[in-house]
Amino acid sequence: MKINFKNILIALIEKEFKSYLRSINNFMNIIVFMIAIIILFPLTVGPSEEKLTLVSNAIVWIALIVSIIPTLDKIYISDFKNGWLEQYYYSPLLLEIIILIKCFVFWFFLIIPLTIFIPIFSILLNIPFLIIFWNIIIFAIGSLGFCLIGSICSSLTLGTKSTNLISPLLILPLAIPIFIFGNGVVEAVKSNYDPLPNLYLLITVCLILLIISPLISAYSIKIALTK
Amino acid sequence: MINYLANPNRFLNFIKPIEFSIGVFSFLFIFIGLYLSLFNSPEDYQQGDTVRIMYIHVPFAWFASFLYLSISIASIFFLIWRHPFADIIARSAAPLGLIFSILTILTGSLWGKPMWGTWWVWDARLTSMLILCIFYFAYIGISNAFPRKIDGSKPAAILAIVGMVNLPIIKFSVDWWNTLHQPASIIRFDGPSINQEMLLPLVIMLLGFLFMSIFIILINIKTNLIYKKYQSEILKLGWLDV
Repeated sequence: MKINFKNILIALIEKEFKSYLRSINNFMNIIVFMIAIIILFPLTVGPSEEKLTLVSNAIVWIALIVSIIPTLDKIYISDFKNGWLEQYYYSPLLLEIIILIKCFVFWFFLIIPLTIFIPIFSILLNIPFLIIFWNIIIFAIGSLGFCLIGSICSSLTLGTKSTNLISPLLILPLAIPIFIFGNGVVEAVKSNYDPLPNLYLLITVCLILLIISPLISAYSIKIALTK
Repeated sequence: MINYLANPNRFLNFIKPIEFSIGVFSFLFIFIGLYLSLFNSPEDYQQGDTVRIMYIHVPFAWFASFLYLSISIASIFFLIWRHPFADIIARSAAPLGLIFSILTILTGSLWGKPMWGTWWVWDARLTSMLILCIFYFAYIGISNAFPRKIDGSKPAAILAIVGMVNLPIIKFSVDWWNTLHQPASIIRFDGPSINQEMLLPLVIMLLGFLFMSIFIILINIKTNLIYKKYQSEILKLGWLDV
């Protein structure tokens, strides 16, 4: 096989996809956690419909975000342990591009499939169809930003003993703009305003992260490798 | 000057004679400032005596964000010129900043209860201050999370620089959003809008807090330097597990 950019790209995506396919446990973990949260909320808030409609959208969001966070900080950890990251570091391709590909693959194969659960949970919690539609769009865009933030955090915590303790502290403050603008879209739809300005701001945040995150992650991976 | 002081030994020699006087200054300024603010300043026409919380709330808030700024500047120095002393300064300032940010939130909620009627609102200013507190926690957490303490310096420095985004948000949150927190009244384009009699004790308190934070950071720097010497001594002796 000839070694050029295209072939390396395809090989990389194939390798990542296979590794996600083989660790299907991770994906099942997310789903089980999500279902647990969705079931627990109506039991703790009380089954009355008025109370639930106030918080139903938030419940879906919390279920998605909280269940993603434990996997977010493990984007690089297995590659770091079995030496793949060093191979990436010495490969002719820029580390930033490899990180970008890894984030995209993570987003595409692990996070995007979760969107099929949004309609199911939303119907369980009586969310109107228009909002379900917008929720899926926001989640698809916002989760890319979320993955990029997770890439920063997981590369910063490479080699630490207590990753689970620090990473939520790192992820939450950085992800706040995504929550604010995502919520802005839903609020605008609920009160019949134009949701597009907030959506554009959300896309802006994700684009800024798309530029910054690979640079920071590559730098901190280099630091982690030279220890 | 900075190059001269960047050597730990010269730095220790430089601060030895002035360290004690900085401590005395901080004590004096805070003492005078507390006296002026508690007994010799006017009541607010709306808030009455509770306005006196301001004289400690504002210095705590200012120095919580100012210390974060100095940590991130020291981190930039550390990442670019790789000088270990910048890292020691950043590490020494972090616990103090964490305490200041927690105390800002505590005094603010004590002030908010009588004035706004709640301990806490999810207001832009308050939330961004809480995020600053979380950044401090994350900084301290990540700088101590590695088996060898030195390995945590660079990730922590990167985090400190990333967290700098939050500082302008704290400063301008009262202008950008419609908040319950009052707008800026000291650093403004058209000069301070605060009463002269209230400004004097506040300025004295701010000076006192400046000296106090310098004093405490100097003590922390000395402690960290001693710890570093101890580590290198252990390395010389050949005990591997540091």
